[in-house]
Amino acid sequence: MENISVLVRRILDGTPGVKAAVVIDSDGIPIAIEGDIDMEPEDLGAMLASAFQCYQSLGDGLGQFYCEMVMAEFDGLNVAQQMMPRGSLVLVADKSCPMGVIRIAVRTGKQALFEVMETTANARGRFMEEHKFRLPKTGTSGDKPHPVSLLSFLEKKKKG
Amino acid sequence: MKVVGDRIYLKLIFFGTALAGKTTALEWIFYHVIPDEMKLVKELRQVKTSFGQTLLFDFAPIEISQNVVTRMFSATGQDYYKGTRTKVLGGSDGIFIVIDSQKEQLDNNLKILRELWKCQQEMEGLADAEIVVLYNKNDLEEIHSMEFLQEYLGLERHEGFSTCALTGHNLEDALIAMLKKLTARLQAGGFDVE
Repeated sequence: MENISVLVRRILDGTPGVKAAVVIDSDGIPIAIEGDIDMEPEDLGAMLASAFQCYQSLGDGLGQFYCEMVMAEFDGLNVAQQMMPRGSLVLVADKSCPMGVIRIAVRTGKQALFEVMETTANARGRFMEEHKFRLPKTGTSGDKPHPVSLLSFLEKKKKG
Repeated sequence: MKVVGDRIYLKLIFFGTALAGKTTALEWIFYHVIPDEMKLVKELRQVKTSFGQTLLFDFAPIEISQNVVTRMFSATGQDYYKGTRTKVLGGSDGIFIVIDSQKEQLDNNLKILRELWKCQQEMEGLADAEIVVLYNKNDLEEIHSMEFLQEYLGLERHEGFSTCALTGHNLEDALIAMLKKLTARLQAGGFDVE
């Protein structure tokens, strides 16, 4: 099974003018980010997922089943967001890259990612089922200091 | 709750009527309660209307424990954006219900609570979300008491705090209560978290 990041990098490298390629899950959690994009991944994921959900809501109102793709033209960038099972693929390109090219690239990218996303989701589900009690690893391991949790921090603060 | 890589992602929502203080509460918690090293972003991400109210959401991801990220959202309270408001609710692990304690807001509180209960019936998993209620604006004069609101709005079974989002009164305690619930939920699910 090919790694999602490798596939995303290939999509990025294969289309001249594309600056960044991003895969987020349906809730905006970043799965893979390749290229040059000046935003915090968490922030980016939340914005993209919410923007997409707005269009999905619009589609619902218009009697459509699902939003296939959202494209946006900014003053310096073109962006295309393609829906996939459990997430979406987003390409961010220079203005020099025509929208038609981005559209084809994002659709082609979806096909390439489809299989690996499917497999990854199944594997993740199985993994969680079998090993969830072992995730995440907390506690001290090696030289890494054990960070205090927010709850412990606040409770200690309250006690003075 | 989602597990991606070695991280657990939780979703926490501030939900309530327009101008109840959801954004103010989230801002106060983000800027006054959360230590900087736990913030995954420096500033709140806010999608606002041109007149400064929340259009879609305000968003702040924080790492509440090692490998546990809580994504905190305040949903818009504006009825005009009701469609997106309910979308933001999806997949929530915890909900801060923000009640506007002003007497004139009683009906609006009821209305939005009905919307929430309806969403809980319709949206998968939402009924299991942990709930803490903030009876906000306790600094104002023309308000109902927390006890009255609890009974009138049918919120007795949920842990509640009389709060003032402007000054942060009781917000830290409310957050502690929510974190305890979320931590207990994770531990019950077999996750080894503090």
